[in-house]
Amino acid sequence: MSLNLVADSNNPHSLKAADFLFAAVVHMVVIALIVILTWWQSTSKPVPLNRIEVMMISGAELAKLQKQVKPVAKPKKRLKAKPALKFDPKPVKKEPAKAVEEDFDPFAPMESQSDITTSKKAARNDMADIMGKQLSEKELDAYIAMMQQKVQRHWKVPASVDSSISDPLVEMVLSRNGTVVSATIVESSGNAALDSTLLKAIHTAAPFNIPQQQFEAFRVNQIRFRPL
Amino acid sequence: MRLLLLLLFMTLSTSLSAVEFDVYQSEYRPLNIALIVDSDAKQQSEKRQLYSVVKNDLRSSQSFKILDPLSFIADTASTMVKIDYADWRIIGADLIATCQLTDMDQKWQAEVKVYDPFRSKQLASMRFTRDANEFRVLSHQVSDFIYQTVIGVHGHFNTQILYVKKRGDKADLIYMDQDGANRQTVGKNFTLLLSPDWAPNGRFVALNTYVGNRPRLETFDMKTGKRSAFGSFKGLNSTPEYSPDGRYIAAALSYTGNAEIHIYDIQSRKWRQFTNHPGIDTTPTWSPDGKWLAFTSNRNGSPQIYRKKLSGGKAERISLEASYNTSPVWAPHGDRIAFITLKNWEYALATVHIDGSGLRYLATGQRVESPSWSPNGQMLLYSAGNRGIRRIYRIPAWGGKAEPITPANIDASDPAWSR
Repeated sequence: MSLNLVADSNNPHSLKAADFLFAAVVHMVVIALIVILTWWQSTSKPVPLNRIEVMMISGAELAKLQKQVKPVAKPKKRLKAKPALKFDPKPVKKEPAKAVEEDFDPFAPMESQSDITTSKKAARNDMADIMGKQLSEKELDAYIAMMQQKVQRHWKVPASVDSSISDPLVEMVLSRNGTVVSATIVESSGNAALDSTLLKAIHTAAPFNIPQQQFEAFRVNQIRFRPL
Repeated sequence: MRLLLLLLFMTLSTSLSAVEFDVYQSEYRPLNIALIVDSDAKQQSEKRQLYSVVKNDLRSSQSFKILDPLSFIADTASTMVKIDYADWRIIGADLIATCQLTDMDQKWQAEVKVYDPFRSKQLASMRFTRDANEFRVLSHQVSDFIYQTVIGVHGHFNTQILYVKKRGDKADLIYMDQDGANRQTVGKNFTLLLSPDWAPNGRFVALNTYVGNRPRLETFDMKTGKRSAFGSFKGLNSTPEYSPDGRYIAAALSYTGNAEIHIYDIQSRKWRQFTNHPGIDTTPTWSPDGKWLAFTSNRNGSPQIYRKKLSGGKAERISLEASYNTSPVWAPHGDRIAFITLKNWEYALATVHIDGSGLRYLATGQRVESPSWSPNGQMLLYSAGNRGIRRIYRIPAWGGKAEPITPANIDASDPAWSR
């Protein structure tokens, strides 16, 4: 009597064969579910989209790109072209964004320092290569706009001197590498202190980024300052 | 900041020979200045004092930003001997000012030099000597010199300010240096005290006070404290202002039955009537050349600013905007007039050219009143109310930030800058 421990029908807590069967079935169902789900998951993985990277490049870069793309056959050259493509748009396109400048922080690297970096020089040379002799009017304007913004950014007028001043004109002569050879007041504002802010702005903004192949056009520059 | 009306250029034209372009000023910007004061080791406290006075002067003009000495690369000793401009360009110093302070036995000497690191040159140098008891004057002279070298106008740092402090129904006349130092009560217990004006010689002050409930005009001797009445007519006697040569005082009197501008000759002690109009004319102010008077008049219905030649002629209207324009004060350079106007239903301090053009709002607020120019025309004072207590504010005449120069717990008004 006492041997029949498992199937004691009088004890409601004892286990029957049907119970084992039920447990086995439940396990089977769960495992099957997991297997099915896993399989379904793996098949319904989204098809990866083709990624399109959009980059802003200048007209010159585009020209370069087109030039570079045509002789596809040479893998060597393409390798060289790639880094140039990635780096060059920065100096050209970023410059204007700096026009809005935050308050001066004495510990930060200075705005008054040279803005020319080696990568920028590289850009210049590349451009020269690409465009050959002549830059388009748009290109020239871009260079002028850069100069204009640089001078504007560095022009500090610390006080209003008097209201009888006129708009002064400054002639700035540049060297081939963009440094200032001379800056002279052609037409004075009528106020010496204001005049000196102009020269200061030019000297602080220098050196300038100018196109090598058309250096002659940028050698002599006339800047009309418009004080408030 | 009212900056960046960056009217971005566009007169870009490229000719073969020269590039031409325009550069627009969008705002006024302070110059970064590295200020270095050096002295013998024995005079450390004087050195510090001079540094702090000059630093505060230049900063308060809002034309300079004093660079933190912690950012300096070059040390003081070597800089006093020879400037390495590159060291200063790197930290962004637009200017370097050095001052060697020397104890000369009962006297102090300050040798100031100003340099431009971007053009790698010395702009100016000067030596000042003062008695030991005038150390602050010496310090302000250093500030003035740096200011003049860079800005091109005289500094206003060795000047004084008067204002009225009201307590209950009494008023005191307070004197202080423009930087708030040396503050003292020079005249006590006035029954009301309005619109003090400093004579060009700095000794006398013309003011409007009351005896009982009757207004009268008095001069106040800053040296002796003596008060003497010079205008106590029936009715209104108000808003006195000295002529630039100090000989006349213009004021508004109403004994004729109507407020008109009259002129008092200090030498002959005689009054003469200047305006004659059924409208109310008040708050006269002299042009710096002494040939014109500007004043407030409601002759066309609302209070407006007019000017009229001393030799006679028709009054010309200056203020063209707003229905309320009062309290004109002619700038020392003569090109502008500061006045109180309304802007969006708020009182405002503004300046305008003599022909009514170039209106420039400087500050708005409650009870913005009584403008006063610094003698160099670079700064303006005015009083403004804050919960019943007025404070005096200082603001650059070209804009910038208004800074209170009187304590928050006293009622201060009617500022007058020495000339």
